[in-house]
Amino acid sequence: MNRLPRMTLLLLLVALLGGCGFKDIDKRFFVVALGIDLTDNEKKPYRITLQLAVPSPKIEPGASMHQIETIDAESISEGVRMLKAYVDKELDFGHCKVFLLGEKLARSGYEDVLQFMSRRRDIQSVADIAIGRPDAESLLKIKPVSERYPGNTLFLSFGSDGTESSYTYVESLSDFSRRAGEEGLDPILPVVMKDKKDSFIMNRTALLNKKKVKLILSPSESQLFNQIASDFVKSSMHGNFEGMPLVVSITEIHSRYRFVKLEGDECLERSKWELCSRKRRMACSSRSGRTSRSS
Amino acid sequence: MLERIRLLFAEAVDLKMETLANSEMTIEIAYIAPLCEEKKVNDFIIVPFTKEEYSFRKQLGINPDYRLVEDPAYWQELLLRGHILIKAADHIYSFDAARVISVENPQTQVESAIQGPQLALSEDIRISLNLVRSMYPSPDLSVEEHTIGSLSKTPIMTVYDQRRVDPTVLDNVRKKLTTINVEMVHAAGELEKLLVGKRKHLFPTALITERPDRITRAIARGKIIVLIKGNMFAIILPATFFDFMQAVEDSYDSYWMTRFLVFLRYASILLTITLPAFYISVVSYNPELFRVQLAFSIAGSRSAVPYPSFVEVFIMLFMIETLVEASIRLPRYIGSTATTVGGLILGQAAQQAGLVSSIMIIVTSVVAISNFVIPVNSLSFAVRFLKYPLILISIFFGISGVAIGMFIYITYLCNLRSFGKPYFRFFGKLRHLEGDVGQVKLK
Repeated sequence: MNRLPRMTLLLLLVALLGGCGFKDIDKRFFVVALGIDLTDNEKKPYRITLQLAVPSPKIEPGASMHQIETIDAESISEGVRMLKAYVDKELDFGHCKVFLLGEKLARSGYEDVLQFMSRRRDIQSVADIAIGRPDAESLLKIKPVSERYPGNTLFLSFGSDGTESSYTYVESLSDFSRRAGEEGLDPILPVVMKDKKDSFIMNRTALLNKKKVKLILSPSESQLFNQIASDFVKSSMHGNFEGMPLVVSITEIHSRYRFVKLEGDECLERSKWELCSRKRRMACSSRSGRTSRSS
Repeated sequence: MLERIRLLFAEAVDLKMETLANSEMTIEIAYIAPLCEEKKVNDFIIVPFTKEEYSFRKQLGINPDYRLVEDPAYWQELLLRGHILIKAADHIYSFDAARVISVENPQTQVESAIQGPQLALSEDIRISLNLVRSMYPSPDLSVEEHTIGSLSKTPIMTVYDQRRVDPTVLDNVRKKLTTINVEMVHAAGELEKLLVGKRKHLFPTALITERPDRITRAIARGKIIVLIKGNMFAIILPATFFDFMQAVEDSYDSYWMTRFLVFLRYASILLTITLPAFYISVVSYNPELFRVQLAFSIAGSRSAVPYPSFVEVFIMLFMIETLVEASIRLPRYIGSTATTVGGLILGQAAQQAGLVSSIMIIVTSVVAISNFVIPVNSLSFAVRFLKYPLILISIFFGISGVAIGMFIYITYLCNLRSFGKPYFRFFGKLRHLEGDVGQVKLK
């Protein structure tokens, strides 16, 4: 056989290889957010909610369209497989950047969900994870008025592109799985709640152990946590100074802390911080609240 | 003599054969009228012969322009080159009266530079040589003459600096020039192909240029120039890939701007090769590579398109390639109309008709425009082809396929040799003999 027929044969063989991977972008359904809740049904414990983007060539505020698909299933991956029969295009998790865990699920145990998220190949590990209160499904059904494209509000709230709030703790999938696996670290997740209108509030932070939620911090505690743990600068402090109410915008934070063992099962955190606001420097040391040993 | 010449040539009315007589002697002259300058025939032969102010016989002996021809075998060739054959007193003399028609004072058109010489090489090889010699006034400049083509008998000149030229390359070129066996050579590109030898090559390995400044710069760097009669272009060899990416203006303009332009050129060559393939592989295999917003708008604009992404790419590339080709071939006045109709109206209409997506139009125009950024035309042509194999690979293998395709191209480039010199050798302050891996010495 000389060269030309050989090459033709090779090309023909190559042509047989295509198929499974090739799927045009308009034949894919992009999942922008995935919510996982716990149901009361013993046999089908997981309720999976997918927020699917309906793409449109024009992107303008308020023009965002999405489709919600919900299913109860025995396991998450099974649920996703079954949901494929509900939609007309291939489900793609490539742009799924937000995962919401229902509060009930987070309180009872998140291990299975984490396994699913970190094992599926098309889920990016930069995705953000949060706890949805009261459940993920109702949160995903919200259609914020200003949303430009599906899922944008949640993406912006978590990422540093949009708002940066001192009350919101941002957790990515890779960090979450690291904290869940590594000794000496424990996961921390933000809590997303629904407003009375169509918007989200994320000003609480949940502290978890290797299995489930142990404590949910109040908004002011969340801010304090962000300031101490991650030196979150864009925040403010308020208090009274010689009888005058005073709000100080912080430009620099340095914090140090250590844990001191007290008697019994309790430990005390001693922290010392240095705050900077314009040229004024203030130092304060505090004996912040008692926390249980596991946190 | 005239009888023999009549036998040598086919019936031709433009073959002039005269017998002239004056008091001193009788001469026979023969020439092909269209090839000769009528004025020279009059001034140098007919008038001095008939006026008899000075003995024509003496003149034939003294003036070196009248050359004695001893072998009748040369008659034919001399006549065909525009010489006049003179038979006087049993001796045959030839006199060069060739008339060369060429474009008067040609301006650079293919490789125009804002600064720098505006004069291009001429179709008359003597004027070209004049330009080169006057821009490179060195006693080391060596000029050799060769003839190529059994029918066309095209005169060719190789020009080089005898001190700086690489002797192995020179031997190689000489050998190639003597062994070329064709009937016709008229264009520099044709000769380049014959010199390189390989019939199917992806990249040009000898640089074709019309700029005398580029030529003299190359001579100073020890390269060999081949000038061809009847062609405004010269061949520079050996050449590296990076020579093709260099515009003459890079050494004329300010430093940072030209560095930026060089970067721009390499970026655009990469874009023009890979962009269509990446479009297919990202749209059809890895849409997560886009930002979310872009992914949704591409998905939205593609939803009207009934064909898979690669068909879309082929439709658009077919249109742009035919457009480019048409605007080159068309007369200059119609050319601009073709681009307007094709570029503006067709693209817009194709998108509105739902044949292609709006992103694809951007991709196509980036591919076309960045292709024109390449300063040397022959490389720009070669690069135009390179995207198609990558597109084929990307249809089946996606991004990893494109990466492997690029790797294959780079390997191929590294494998190429231009007259024994590595083609893809980096420029810079590197001593080549130490810096090259696999330096090939010609036998």
